[in-house]
Amino acid sequence: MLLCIDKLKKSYGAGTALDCISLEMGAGEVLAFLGPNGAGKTTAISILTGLIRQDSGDIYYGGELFNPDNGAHKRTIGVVPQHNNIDRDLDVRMNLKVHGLLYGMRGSFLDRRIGEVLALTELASQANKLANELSGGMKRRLVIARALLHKPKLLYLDEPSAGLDPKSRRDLHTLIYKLNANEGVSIFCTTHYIEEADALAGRVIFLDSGRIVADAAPAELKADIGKFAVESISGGVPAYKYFAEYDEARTYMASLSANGATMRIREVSLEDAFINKTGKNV
Amino acid sequence: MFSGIVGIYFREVNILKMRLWRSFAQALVSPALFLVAFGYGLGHGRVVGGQDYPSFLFAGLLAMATLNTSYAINAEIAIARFHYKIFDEYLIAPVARWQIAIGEMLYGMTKALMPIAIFLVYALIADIDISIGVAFIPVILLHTAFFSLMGFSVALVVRHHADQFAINTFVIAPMTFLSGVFFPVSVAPKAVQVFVQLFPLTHSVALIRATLTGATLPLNHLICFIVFFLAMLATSLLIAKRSAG
Repeated sequence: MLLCIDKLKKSYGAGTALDCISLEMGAGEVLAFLGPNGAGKTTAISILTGLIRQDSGDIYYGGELFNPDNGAHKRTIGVVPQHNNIDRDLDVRMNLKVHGLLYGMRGSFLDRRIGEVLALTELASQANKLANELSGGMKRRLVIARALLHKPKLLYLDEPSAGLDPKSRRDLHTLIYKLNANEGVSIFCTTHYIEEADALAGRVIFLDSGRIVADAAPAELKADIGKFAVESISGGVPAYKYFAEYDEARTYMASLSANGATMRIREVSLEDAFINKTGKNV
Repeated sequence: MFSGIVGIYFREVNILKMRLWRSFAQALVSPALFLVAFGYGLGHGRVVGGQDYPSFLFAGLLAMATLNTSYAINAEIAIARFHYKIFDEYLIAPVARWQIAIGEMLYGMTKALMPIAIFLVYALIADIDISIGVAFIPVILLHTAFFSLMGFSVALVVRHHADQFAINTFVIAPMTFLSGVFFPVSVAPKAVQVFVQLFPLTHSVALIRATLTGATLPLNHLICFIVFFLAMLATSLLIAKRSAG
């Protein structure tokens, strides 16, 4: 197992941020933590990367108990935080160089690796530009390039596409896909974008109020509640009912039509699965 | 082995290079104003502590300017920590926390070279009567190291920018005015003389002044300042160890 989390707990005062989280993640997986704001996603990543300490529970990387003071353990992971925490006063190459030096990389090895990640993230033409002059999408790619510089086995992405326009978001998804498929990097991503989790992840974990409420492939999570959804809106209030067969859904919708509600039949989405499990919107 | 120190120092110095002229210009103005207004204006023709007042003041202003420059890294670290979250990058990296403190200390010491250079030029221009002893270098390094570590610690302890202003008002300003920068501590009321012994600047000003007048280093001040430095070093390392993003 690349990552094993065992009964992780974290509280802030009276509030519970993580309530006994346990999971295992294999090499090569793309895993998405999906949940609304305040579900505990960022707290989980902060603990898994050694930024803050858990109250109890253990984390294992490659079977070894994670010790945030152990440099080798930290080199296993790369982190793309929610906030683009780049040095705006330094150029792109210099941002990467600082990261490389912090990770003990030096000389021609560091320069060569900087060239590789710039090419991978399509930032080579921007190498001498000040980070502050980059677009939002490019800044995001710079943070990813930085996280990849030391060749981590596991990349944490905290809300990777938050604040990006649709085009930049799509480009970012392509990059994440390439990192996993071509570079063999395992991805642990938190998001509150349903479509992002659906598009990127082979496995989705629903997190609600610090607890894991579901853990499966997106298709399985959807199949759990059915294949077709009847969405009816009556008096401005939406209602959903799920069916395994299209004919069942159509029969149900016909029975409702006399009530004057606005209705449609569509395929079940990951959002339906989330709402069904938690009773909340993402 | 020292990748944290190397990486952090490299980052800070490169950012300083980007802002070098602005920082240099800022360091240029204030000491000149103090020297002219107090040294040659109010203190004209006076002899203080056995020296003409501009020469007496010169050592105090040098200590004050280097204190301000090295301590001022606290604002930069606070912005990097709270606003840009760059500090998280250090905490996530495979870097021992003590290396973060030492990297920032070395940066503060480097930054303080600017006012030192400026003051040496002022000494030539204003014909200040100084005689720099060999002890000047280790004393000024110890002085700037202390206040860099203090700046680092304050940046990591405070939870809000307003707290930083409070420290400036209640600690830095009284220390600057009472520790022998502008007048000898010996002429202050007895109670103040005793109280200011608690200020590290009292001891470093006395040491810096001694190294600029060719006098023997006052052993009592040297011991006191080394104790202050070791206590600040230990505090900074402890704060760094406990720091979170």
